[in-house]
Amino acid sequence: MIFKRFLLLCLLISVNVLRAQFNNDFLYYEKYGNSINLHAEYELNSTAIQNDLIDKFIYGGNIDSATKAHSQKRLKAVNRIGGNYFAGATVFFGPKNSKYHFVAGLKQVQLVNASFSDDVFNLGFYGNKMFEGKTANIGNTNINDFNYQEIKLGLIWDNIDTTAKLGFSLSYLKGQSLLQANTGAASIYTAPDASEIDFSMHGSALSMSDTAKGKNGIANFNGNGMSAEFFASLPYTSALGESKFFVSLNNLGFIKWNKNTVNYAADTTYKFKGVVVNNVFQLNDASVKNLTKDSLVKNLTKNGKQVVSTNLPMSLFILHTIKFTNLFTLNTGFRHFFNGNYKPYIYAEGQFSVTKKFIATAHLGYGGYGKLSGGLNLEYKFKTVFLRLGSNAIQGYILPKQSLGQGLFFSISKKI
Amino acid sequence: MRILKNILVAVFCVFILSFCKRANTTWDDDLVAPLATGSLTLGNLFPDTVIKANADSSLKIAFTSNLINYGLDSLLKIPDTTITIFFNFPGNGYPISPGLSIPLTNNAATETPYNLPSGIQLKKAIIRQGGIHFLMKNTAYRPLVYHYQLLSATKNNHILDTTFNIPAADSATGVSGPLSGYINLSGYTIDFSGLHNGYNRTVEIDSVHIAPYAQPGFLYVNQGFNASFTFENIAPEYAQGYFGSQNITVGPDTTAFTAFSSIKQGMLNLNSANVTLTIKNQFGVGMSALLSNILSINSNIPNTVPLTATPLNSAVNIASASNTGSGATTTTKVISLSNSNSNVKDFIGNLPGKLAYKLTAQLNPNGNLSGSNDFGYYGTSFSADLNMDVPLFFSASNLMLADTVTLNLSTVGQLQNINHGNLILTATNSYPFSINLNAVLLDEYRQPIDVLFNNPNLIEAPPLDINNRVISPLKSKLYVPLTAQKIKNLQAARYVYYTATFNTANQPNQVKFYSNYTLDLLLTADLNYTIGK
Repeated sequence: MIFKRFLLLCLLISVNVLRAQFNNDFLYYEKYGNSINLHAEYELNSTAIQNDLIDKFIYGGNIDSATKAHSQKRLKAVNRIGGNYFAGATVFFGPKNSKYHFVAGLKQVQLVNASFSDDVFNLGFYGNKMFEGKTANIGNTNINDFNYQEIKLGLIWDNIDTTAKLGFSLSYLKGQSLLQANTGAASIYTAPDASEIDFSMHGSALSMSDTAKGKNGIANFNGNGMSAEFFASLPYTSALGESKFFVSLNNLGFIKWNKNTVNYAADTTYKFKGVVVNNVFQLNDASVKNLTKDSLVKNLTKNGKQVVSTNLPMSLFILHTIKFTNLFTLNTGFRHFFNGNYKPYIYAEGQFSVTKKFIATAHLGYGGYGKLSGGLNLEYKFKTVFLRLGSNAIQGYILPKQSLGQGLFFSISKKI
Repeated sequence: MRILKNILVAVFCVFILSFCKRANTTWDDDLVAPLATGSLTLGNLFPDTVIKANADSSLKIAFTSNLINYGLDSLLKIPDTTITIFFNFPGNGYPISPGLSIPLTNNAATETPYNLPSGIQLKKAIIRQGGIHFLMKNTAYRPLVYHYQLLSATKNNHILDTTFNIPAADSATGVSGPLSGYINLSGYTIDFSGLHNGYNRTVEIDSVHIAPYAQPGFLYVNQGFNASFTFENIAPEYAQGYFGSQNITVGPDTTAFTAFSSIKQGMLNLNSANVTLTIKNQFGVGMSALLSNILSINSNIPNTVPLTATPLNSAVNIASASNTGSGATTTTKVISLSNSNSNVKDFIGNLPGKLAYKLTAQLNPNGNLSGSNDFGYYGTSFSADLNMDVPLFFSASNLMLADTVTLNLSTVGQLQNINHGNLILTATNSYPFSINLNAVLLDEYRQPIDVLFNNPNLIEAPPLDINNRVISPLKSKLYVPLTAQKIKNLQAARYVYYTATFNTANQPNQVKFYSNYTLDLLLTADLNYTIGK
C-alpha cells in the first residue's frame, strides 16, 4: 500500500488535475500585457512509465499484465517520473503608459517527482515472488510531493532601456501536504522458500505532513513558506528577424511544515520471519492480526513528529524567440528543475500564424522527467480574449500504449 | 461576451466533472512472505511433563500427580459442643438485692467434656479458627451480671475472662433480650486436660449476680436465666494428644492425571516405565496404610487398566513425623514400581486422563506409643504422590492431539484482495514420527464448513538407521489452496478444529527420542494479490 501511495502521489492521481505549460506567469505579460489570465496546466512524464499505465492512475481501472510489461521493458537501472500541476489566476495591471506594472495571482501547485530503480518498479507492480532468492535494490529511491497554494504579488519594470523588461514577485505559500522520502542504501531480500524477508535500510528517511484523517485537504494549513520569482525579457533584432530572450527563475523558496509532520528514519537491518507462534496448535486470529504493516514499520523505523523545512525544486526557464516572418516564429527553450529528479529539458517550437486570429504551434522537446516529447498548441483570439489550448506531450493521447509523457495546458486571457 | 460566457460555463462543467468519483486503480502482484514460524515439540504431546535428557541424550518425561492429600482438618474433627447453664427459682417471692449471687455452682471451676470421635484424646490445641457463640435470656425482673472465665483458654498468658450484662426481663413478656454474641478463639491455646490431667475436657467458672445497680425486688417462681455457650467451627492450628487407633478410608475416588491431557486418541506402546508411589506422613502419628483400587482411566478410548503391583498387595507402615516445636519433619515411604514388579508400562501406556484410588489406613496400629503426644499442624497432611519417569522409547499408533481454537478473520479485509494462491506449511521434521494434520473450519455454531489443508496433509517421518535413529530431517509441504470459496469460508469461520495424528516410524519397532530432534514449522503465503482494491 505504501508503494501504491507513492505511485498515487507520483502520478498525480488526483482527479482534479488540470493543466498549462512551464508555469511561467510572466509569459502572459509578455504576450498580452495588462490582462486577466485564468490558466491551468499539468504535465506527467517518465523515462520508463508509459502513458497507458499512467492513465490507469488518472482515470482508474485495472493495470493488466500487458500494460505493466510496456513500462517494464523500458526500465533502466535508474528511472525518473514526475509531474507538475498548476492552476490559478494571474492579473497584470498598471497605468498603460507607465514603466511599472504589477502582478497579483493565486495558484494551486503540486510538484511531484521521483527517481527509482527497476527493482522498485518490479517489486511494486509484480510483487516479490520474482525476487525469491534474490535481493531487490530499492536504494536511492527519492520521492518528493509538494502540494501548496500560492498568493503572489510582484512588480514589472517595462522598457528598462527601450524594450527590455524585468520583473519579480514574492509569494506566500500555504502548505497543504508533503511527502518526501529517500530510501538511502536500501534493499529487500526474499529467501528462496519465503522463510524470511530481510530489510536493509541505511540512511532512509520519510517525512509526511499531518497524517491525521482529513488533515491534508485544501483548507488545511500544514505549513507556511515563501518563494520568489524573477524574469527578464530582452528583445533584439537580428538578421533573422525580431528576436527575444526570456529568462525566468521560479520557486526560489521553501515551506516550513508544522510540528505535526511525521518523520520516519531507518538505519537498520531487519529480518521478517512472520509471527513466532509458541504453540502451533494455537495459531488463531490473534496471531494473524499481529501481522500488520504497523508492526513492520515499528521494527524498521524510528518515528516522531517535528517541524520540517523543505526547499522547493527551483526552476530555470530560458526562451529564445525569432520571428522569421509574420507567419512563422521559431521558439527554442531550456528548462530545468533543480533537486527535482529532472534532467534539463530542451525544446524547439514552430509557431504558425494561420490567420490573424489563429495561431498553431508545433513543439518538440527532450529531457525533463522523460525523454522525447512532441506537442501542439492552438491559440484563438476573440477580440480581446485569447483562448489557448495545447500540449507539449501530445503523444500520451495519441499513442498511450507506446509512449511516455503527457500534458495539457489551457488558458483564457483577457486584455485589460 | 457570449462566447466568453460559454467558455466559462464549459470550464465550470469540467471543474465539476473533475470531482466525479473514478474507479480505483488496481493491479495484481505475486507476493510471497513468511506468516508464522514455530516448532512442534514433545511439550505439545506431553504438556504438563518435564522432559529430561539421559546421558545418551535420549529423552524421558517426568510427571508427578498427587493422588491423596489427607489434611489435619480431616484427621481431627472437633464437633460443635454446646454447654447450657440455667437457673429457675423454685419458690415464690424470694427477696433479692443488688449484688446478690445466683446459686449456680458456688463460683467453683467445673469441667466441660467434649465428645471427640474415633477415640481421640485431645490434650492441647491451638485454635486457628472458630469461637464461642453465646445466647443468654433473663426471666428475672432485675438485670444480671454474668462473669464467664474459660480457665483452659489462654492467649498471651491471659485466660479467657469476660463479663456479660443481661438486661432485666420485660414485665409484659417475662423475658429479656436475648443477649447473644461471639467470642473469637483464634490464637487461644486450649488445654484439654481438665482438672485432673485428663483429656477432651475444658475448665471454666461461671458466676451470676444481680446487677449492683439493680433495685431490690423479688424472684418469683421459675424466674432466673438461661445461658448457652456453643463452641463452633473449631479448627486447630496445632493439636496434641492421642489420636486413637482410628481407621481412615479415603476414596474410592479419582484424581485428574494431566500428563497426556492433549492426547485424545491412540495407543502408546512404551518400552518401559518407572513409577514411584511416595507416601508422606507429616502427622505425629504412626500409620499402617494400604493403597488399592488404583486404576488408569482413559475416557477417550475408553479403557481402564488396573495397577497390579506386588509392593501394593500389603499395607505399609509409616512412622510418625517428628515434632520440631514449630512444625513437623516429614516421614516418607517410597514404593517403586517397574516392569518387573508391576504392569506399570501398560498402566501408563493407557494414557490415563484420570487415576482412581482407594486408601485405607489405621492410625497408631501399635497403640498409644507416643504417650499422648500425637500431633498435627495445620497445613500438614498425609499424602500419596504418583511419580512417573518414562523413557521416551515407544511406538505410537494413531496418537491424536486435538483442539479447537477461535478464528475470526471476518474483519481481515485483505483476504478479499487475494485472487488465488496457497498458504504453505513447511515442516522440517527430525522426530521419528509422521503427523497427519487436519484442520476443519467451523462456523459460529461449531458446524464444519470446510477443511483447511489439501491432501496430502502428511508431515512425513524422516528415514531411520538400523538403530531406529533419525538419519536426517525430512521436509514436507502442506498446502492450503486459497480459492475464492476457501477465502469465503475462512472469513465465515469462527473456530478451527485441529487434529494431529502421530505414528512412529518403523512400527511395530519402538523408537527412542533424542534431544536433538526437532520439528520446525514455517507458514508462508504465496499469493496473487490485488493491490488497491
